[in-house]
Amino acid sequence: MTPDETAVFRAAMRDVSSDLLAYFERRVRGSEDAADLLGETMLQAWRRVDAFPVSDRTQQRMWLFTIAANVLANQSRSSRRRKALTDKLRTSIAAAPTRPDLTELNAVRDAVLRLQESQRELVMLIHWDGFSIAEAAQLLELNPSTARGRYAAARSSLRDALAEGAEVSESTLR
Amino acid sequence: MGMESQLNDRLAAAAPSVVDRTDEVRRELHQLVAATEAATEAAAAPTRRRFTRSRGFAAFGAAVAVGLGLTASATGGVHTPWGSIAAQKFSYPGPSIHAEDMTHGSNCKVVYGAAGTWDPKHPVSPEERAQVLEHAREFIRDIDLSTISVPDAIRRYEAEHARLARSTGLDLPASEFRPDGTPDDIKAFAVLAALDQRLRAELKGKGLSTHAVGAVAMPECETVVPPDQWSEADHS
Repeated sequence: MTPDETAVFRAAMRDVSSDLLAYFERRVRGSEDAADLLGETMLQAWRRVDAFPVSDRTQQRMWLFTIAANVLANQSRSSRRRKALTDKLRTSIAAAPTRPDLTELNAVRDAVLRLQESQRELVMLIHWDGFSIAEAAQLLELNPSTARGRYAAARSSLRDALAEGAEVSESTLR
Repeated sequence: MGMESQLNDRLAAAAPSVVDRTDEVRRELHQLVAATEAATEAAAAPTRRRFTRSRGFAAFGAAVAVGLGLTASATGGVHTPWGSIAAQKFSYPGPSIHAEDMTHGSNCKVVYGAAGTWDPKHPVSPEERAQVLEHAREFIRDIDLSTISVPDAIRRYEAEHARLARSTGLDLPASEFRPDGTPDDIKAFAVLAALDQRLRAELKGKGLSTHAVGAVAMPECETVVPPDQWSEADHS
């Protein structure tokens, strides 16, 4: 990799780092654990830097998120090194404020979390992480048409679950 | 509003909240990129091995430096966003800096260098940073580390540590490297503090920004495992 390409790589890492952190924050219990996973993702990315798609910004983001998804899937690995690297970020995150969650939002979130696993991650990637269906399919190594089908089924399940929830709430009030 | 659009809005609004990206969080995110690069460089670097086989955890690269009056950033190794950095190898004979590795024995060294820093409170243009880094790189490359008195550096470091603990009322970690800093950790950071102090004085004297770069340290350790403790993984 040339110095210019390495500079592009660093810039991409910096640009995407906040989104990657958010990706982990939404999938693991503690924000500090998210910092560790981000550290591991960056280590993995540097290790594979020769495969980085230098000329395509969209693919750069996808490439980094693919590594993040693999890291998330293998998060039980030894974490001593990444913890040392992310100590300061963990401290910063612990000190940073979070916005409170509201009940209505929790109902929607619960409905998402109750989806089948194969549908849930698609919905999260699309609605929480901002990926298109095609990009989410790529990240999950799915055929795009399979992803479209699963996404449609997920939406249908969500509509039913949320309508059911609303009916239960109304009947409780009566 | 259509039902589909309403569902989209509800889903988007239901995204679990994430911590605010404060200046500090943003700065650490940026520095993590450099720190992981340094760690990767350290892992890739050839290491001296006492035994013919050694366990995979050959290098523990962390890049470190902030606090205790320093504002140095985290990176080290060979490259920075602005080109190769000067690096000096300062060898520590003896035990590992990882207490848990000491039962196996290890070889450690600390690499010192200069790297760019990112501080939202003191923005610096890439051009200016490149210029300052080049000077810092040369300055550190030319420093004779033997001119730094390690005992004096440790005394100053510990005094500054105590002062900071008193003024903040915090139970600060013994070293910036690990909460349970070993004497080797403290030694490494004491030298870093002294090096950073010299670098800042140099930059100030030359009228260059002290917010663009900092001295960095990267400990590298090779864990050495006696042959009778090799696992199957060591042979693969």
